[in-house]
Order: sequence, then C-alpha cells, then structure tokens
Amino acid sequence: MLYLDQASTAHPRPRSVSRAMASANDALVNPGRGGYPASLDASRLLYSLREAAGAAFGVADSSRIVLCGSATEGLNTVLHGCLNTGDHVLCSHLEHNAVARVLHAMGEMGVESERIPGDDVGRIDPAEFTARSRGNTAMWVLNHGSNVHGLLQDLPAIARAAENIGIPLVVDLAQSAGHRAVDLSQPGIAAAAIPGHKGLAGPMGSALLYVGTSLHPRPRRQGGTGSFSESASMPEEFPDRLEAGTPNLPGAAGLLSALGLLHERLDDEVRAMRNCRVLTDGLAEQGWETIWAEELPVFSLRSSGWDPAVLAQTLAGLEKSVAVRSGLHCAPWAHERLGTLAEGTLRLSPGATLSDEELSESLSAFAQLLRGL
Amino acid sequence: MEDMRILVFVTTHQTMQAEAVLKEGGLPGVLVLKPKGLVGNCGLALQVGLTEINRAVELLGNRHIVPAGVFRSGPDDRWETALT
Repeated sequence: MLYLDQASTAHPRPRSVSRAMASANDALVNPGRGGYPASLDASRLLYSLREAAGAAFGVADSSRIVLCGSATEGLNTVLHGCLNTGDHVLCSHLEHNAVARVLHAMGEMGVESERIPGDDVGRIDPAEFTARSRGNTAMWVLNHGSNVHGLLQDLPAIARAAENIGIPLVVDLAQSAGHRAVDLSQPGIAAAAIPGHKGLAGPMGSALLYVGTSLHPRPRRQGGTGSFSESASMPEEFPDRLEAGTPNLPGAAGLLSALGLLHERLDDEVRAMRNCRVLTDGLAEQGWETIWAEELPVFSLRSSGWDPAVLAQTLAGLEKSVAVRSGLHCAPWAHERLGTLAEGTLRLSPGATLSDEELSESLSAFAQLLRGL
Repeated sequence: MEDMRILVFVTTHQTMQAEAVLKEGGLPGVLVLKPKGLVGNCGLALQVGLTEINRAVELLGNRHIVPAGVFRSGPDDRWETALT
C-alpha cells in the first residue's frame, strides 16, 4: 500500500509503540487502586506519561494533563465543561467537526458561536479575534493546523492577543502536534487537545488534554478515581477531576513510547514536507489543481467535475493500493471557506518514510487516473 | 513501625510525583496503601524511614510538593500526626 493518509492516522507506527502496548497489557492492572506492584507500576506509567507530555509541550505542572480517548473527547470536555448559556465563542472558519458540532449543539443551549473567516484560505489576523470579542465572549477556539490544506495559524500571536484581552484560548492541536514543536506555556493558552495517534504516531484511542489553571471544567463523566472515594462528587483536583473510570493503560504506554520518539519525528518533518512538495509539484504538472498552504504535510486536490470518492476508490483498488481520503474530512466549514463544500476534495498527506520510488509510483497512479477521466 | 513515617498526599498523581522526587534525590520511599483513618484523599501513601523524613520533606518542598499529612504509629495501632 502507498499510504498517503497520515492526516487521518499515522501508519506504520513505530514497533516500540506496539511493544509498549503489549507489555502494558500483559503486565499492568488498574492504576491507583491497589498497593501491589502491578497496580503501582500502572500508576507510575501514567505519571511518566504526564511528565513526558509536560516536557514535550512546555507544561510545568503535569497534573494538568488529562488522558482522553481522543482529541475530540478533550475538546468536548473543555467546551461543554466551561461554556454557559449566554456565552459568546469565537473560532476559526477551519474548525473540524470536533469543535463545529460541539458548538452547534451548544447553540441549542444558548451558547452563541461566531466564525472568523480570515483571508481567502482561512488564515486569521490575531487582531480579528480581539476586534470581534464582546463583553460576553467567554472563549476563543483555534484549529491550529488545517486537516484540509495544511494551513498553520499563528498560535503565538493569537495566544498573546488572548492574554492581552483576558479571554481563554482553547487550541485544537489535532494536525500540528508531532509536526511542529508547540509550547503550551505561552500565556493565553488555556487548554489544548492533543491526539496520540496522528503526528505523534501513538496508538489510536489515546489523547491528552491540557487544561491550564484559568479553566476548571465541569466533569462530563462521573465515576471512580481511586481518590476522594467518600465524596459523592468528582474531585476538584487534577487530573482526577476529568479522569473517571479505568484508563486505557495500553494506550498510555504506547503514547509514552511515542513521545520518546518525538524529537526524531520533528526532525523527520523536513522529509515529510519535501515529500509533499514532490507530490504537489508532480500533480500540478499533470494538471491537477492543488490546494496547499505549505505549512503542514497535507494538501487537497480540487475537483474539476470528478467525484473525489470515485477517484479514491479507484486508487484504493489498484494492484498496489493508494490510500487517500475523499470528501469533507469532517471539516465542512473549511471546505466552505475554500469553495470546495459541494464536491469535497481528494486529500493527500504523505509521511516522512515514503521513499522516492513510492512517490514516483504514487504520481504514476494519478497519471493513470487522469487517463481514465 | 516506630522507626517509620507515613506521608499522605491529595491525589495519586501527587503521590507518584513525590515518589519520583525522592528517588531522584537518592532517598527512595516505599509506596503503601494508606492506613485507615489518615487524612489525604489518595488511596496510596509513601513510607519513609524516621531518619530520612526531614530530608524527604525538604526534597518535596523544593519542588513545591506539600504532603497533606505526615504520620507515625501511635499507641493501640493508631496513627498520629508526626511533626517533622
């Protein structure tokens, strides 16, 4: 398979990730609930994961790093847990449904949301956030990196603007974590959702949520935490407040292993971007219209009448399958902004490990497609 | 148990952090189940030798970790607050 769908999930994952998961699954039990070695080691593993994540993302107090099943879950936790009826929320026009659908649902609860269009590719001038803020603006939400055309918003500048005006900034790092070094210690960043399985190449079903001390979300889940057991309410303390129930220990072990490779992955990003350049240049030469902001290794092909789903299916069915993604990529607002909402796009996101031969084979597959159109 | 002290913390995370800090400082504590009746809301606690308790509290304080309580074994198998 020629895998050009890294923006969906990393593939192949490092073997060390699989080994760490298997080892945790074999050796560890429920953390924080027992005094025997297998339980204590499970607790130590969770602590190590938070510390490693804190070091990777500039979070000094690792108790503010919460384990989640997905970045989507983390974003739900913060938005549902912090917003109230009558609040106004500003966000980008490039939000994934992990934010868009939450805000839509919260609209029915009296939370008003407003999208900032930005320029013709959705890039936002930080001053726009400030100018549109009102007395009841309770949160800014920012998709850091677009999963449609690889645009990276200016997080440091927008965080500074958030800090200056005193409004919490919640960041969706779904496409940028593992691709760019992100410093969450920047004042203004109140929370951030980090998927484990995309740029970090950790396991699917693993994610982290950073919640700074300026936010204190209402827990969306209630249950056992191994602490404060006599209390009928969830603890006020982090991370317990947002971690009811038995955590995904194998996922945590895999993610910890993946974080150990983060520096290598960030170094490899040069190669991933170069691979993206080879594909966009080659496809443009063939006559395909590419949409790429050139900041993350993911881009789209704009349809000129062809159905992206048919093309994706054709590519998948080749003798050597080419894995791409068609449709709206769970980001209809982004397609609305880019003028591709009606047809969707064909999305390609090559990784760093793709060889030159595989890049040539990929381009040949698209040339073959063109002949069939 | 007279030569032992028990440190209790608010959360499991803080207990794990305390264990790691003491280990880094060359002063390993032993994780144990928190004895019944002690303050602190984590089900685990750290057991440290009497001769090492002051150093342990100092190491933790350097990292802004304050135990919810430090206890010693008292009469009738009860635990009582131990001033360090």
